[in-house]
Amino acid sequence: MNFDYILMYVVSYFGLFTSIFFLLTLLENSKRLKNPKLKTFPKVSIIVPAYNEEKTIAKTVKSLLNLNYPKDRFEVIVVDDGSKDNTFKVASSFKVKNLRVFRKENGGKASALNFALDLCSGEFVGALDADSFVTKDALRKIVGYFENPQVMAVTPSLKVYQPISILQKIQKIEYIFGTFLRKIFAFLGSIHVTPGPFTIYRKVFFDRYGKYDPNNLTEDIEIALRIQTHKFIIENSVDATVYTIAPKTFKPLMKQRLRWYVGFINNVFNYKHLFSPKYGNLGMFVLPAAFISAFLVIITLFYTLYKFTSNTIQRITNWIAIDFDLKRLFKWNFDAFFINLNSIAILAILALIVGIMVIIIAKVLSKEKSSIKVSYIFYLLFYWFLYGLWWFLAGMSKLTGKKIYWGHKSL
Amino acid sequence: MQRREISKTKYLAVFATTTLIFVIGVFIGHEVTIMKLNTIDDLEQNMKVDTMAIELQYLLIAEDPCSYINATPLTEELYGIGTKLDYMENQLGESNPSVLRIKEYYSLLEVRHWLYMKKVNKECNKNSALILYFYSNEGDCPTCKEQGFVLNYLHTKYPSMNIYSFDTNIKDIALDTIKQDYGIKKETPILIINDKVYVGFMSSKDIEKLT
Repeated sequence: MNFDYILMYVVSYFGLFTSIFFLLTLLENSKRLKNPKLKTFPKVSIIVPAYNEEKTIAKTVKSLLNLNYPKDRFEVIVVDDGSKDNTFKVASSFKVKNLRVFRKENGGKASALNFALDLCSGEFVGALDADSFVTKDALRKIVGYFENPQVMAVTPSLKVYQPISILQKIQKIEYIFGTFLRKIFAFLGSIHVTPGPFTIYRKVFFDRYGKYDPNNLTEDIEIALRIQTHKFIIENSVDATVYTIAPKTFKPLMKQRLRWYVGFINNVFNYKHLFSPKYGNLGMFVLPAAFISAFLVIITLFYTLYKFTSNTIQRITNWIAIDFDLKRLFKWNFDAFFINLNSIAILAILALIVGIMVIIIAKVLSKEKSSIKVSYIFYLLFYWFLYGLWWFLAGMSKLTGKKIYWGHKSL
Repeated sequence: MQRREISKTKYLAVFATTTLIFVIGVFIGHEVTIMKLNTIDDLEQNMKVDTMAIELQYLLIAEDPCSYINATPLTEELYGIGTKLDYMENQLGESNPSVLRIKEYYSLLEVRHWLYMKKVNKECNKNSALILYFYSNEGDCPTCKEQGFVLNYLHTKYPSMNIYSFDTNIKDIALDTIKQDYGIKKETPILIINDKVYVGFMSSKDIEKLT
């Protein structure tokens, strides 16, 4: 058996296994999809760490002030992390009782969050990045989960705000898929990222187990793994929607993903004790599967690139040999014999069907109203290519020790 | 603190379902492949009958058989089988036993067709270009793929050009005889154009000049 077959068999088996596992998890928990009813309105503090966000901060603050949660039961704390633009001025222009604006020297996102944690008066505390906006009922939908005293954090569902470029449109679908995954991980007790935009925490967790790690590239992964280490619960409200601005072009997207993936690798290494049956599905399936998928996608990426390059070279050499008289080659003669239906093709079709099923379910779960468009096909066919690239670059960056930047502060 | 439990039954159920779907997928693919190989087998049998028929036609028409000869459908039939065989070889690999068996038979059909065309050329004063092409796909012939492509192109450009491709690694008495007659050694690609042997890659222009 040649390498193509072995690789495709392994990839399709792994893909099928995880997809079926996730779909079965969803099925057995379908009654738990609704948010718990909100009985009281505990006090919540929302921190907005901002660095050079003068363009978006007003919209972010406005969306928070519009939350349909009693005004005296939540406060907004904006921390300008040493911006060089008018972020502080814009944020200070809001004259409302439950908003406070502070300015400090630049120290990175985690330091801004820690700064604000000391000022919070809420029983629950959350953050909202200054490039994200919440929907009106997001907080109400989230807070109900804290009725269970074991719940230490509740994550929202993230969506891309007004996607314009093709990369943003692909990210939009990626985020919809992320919504599905986060809910499944919540059912499995395996959420390992509590996203910066609007995850709400029980404040007592920070008091007991320490604040954000300012030296961490992805503090939202570190805090989630810390909660998991202490075997508390991280929940997800699938319809508490938060919109975030996704990178429009390739370069900022690559920068963002490098930070995420290197941060993930660093944190998982620091919390390697989680790879244990003691941590249930997280330790025995979800975290190992993340690394297996990364490994497989990198191999597939390079093998595909190798095949593509060698085929292209062969094709060009062929064309040179016939003086580029190509019009004779494109004769359309349909013969069903040449429809590829070998085992690999059948498994690829199966994987595509499962992929479409998952996307449709994710779309329904996240209450995404826009219709399925070409970008969905792009996502299904090409997203794995970008995914492989991020993982490869992150792995290389980790191996070579190259610095990754967030804001202007290197970590 | 919450106890983290793993449901072994669930993992087993997922494992069983995945394996079942996987095996069904592989099985369907395998069956389709066998069906396709059988199709080529059938086509070869049809070709055998058609070749015999045209040979007999030649013998039976005592008076001026040349005016009745039309070998084009048979040539196209041969070419059609060759294309399908190429496709299956790409899919299953050149060392697949079924592919090798079909290819061996195909080579014999080619030799028979070539002999017939030679006879027609000679006895009917025709001038159809006859090209024998020996290749190897055991990794020792870097230009064979390119040469195959060029010959395919030439057949599309000149449907009357008869090209017969032979895997030099196939052990067969008829092929060995041809190789011996033309003094062919291991080196590939080799083209025999109008009874002259050419070793090494030839572009479409080079071949066009000789035919």
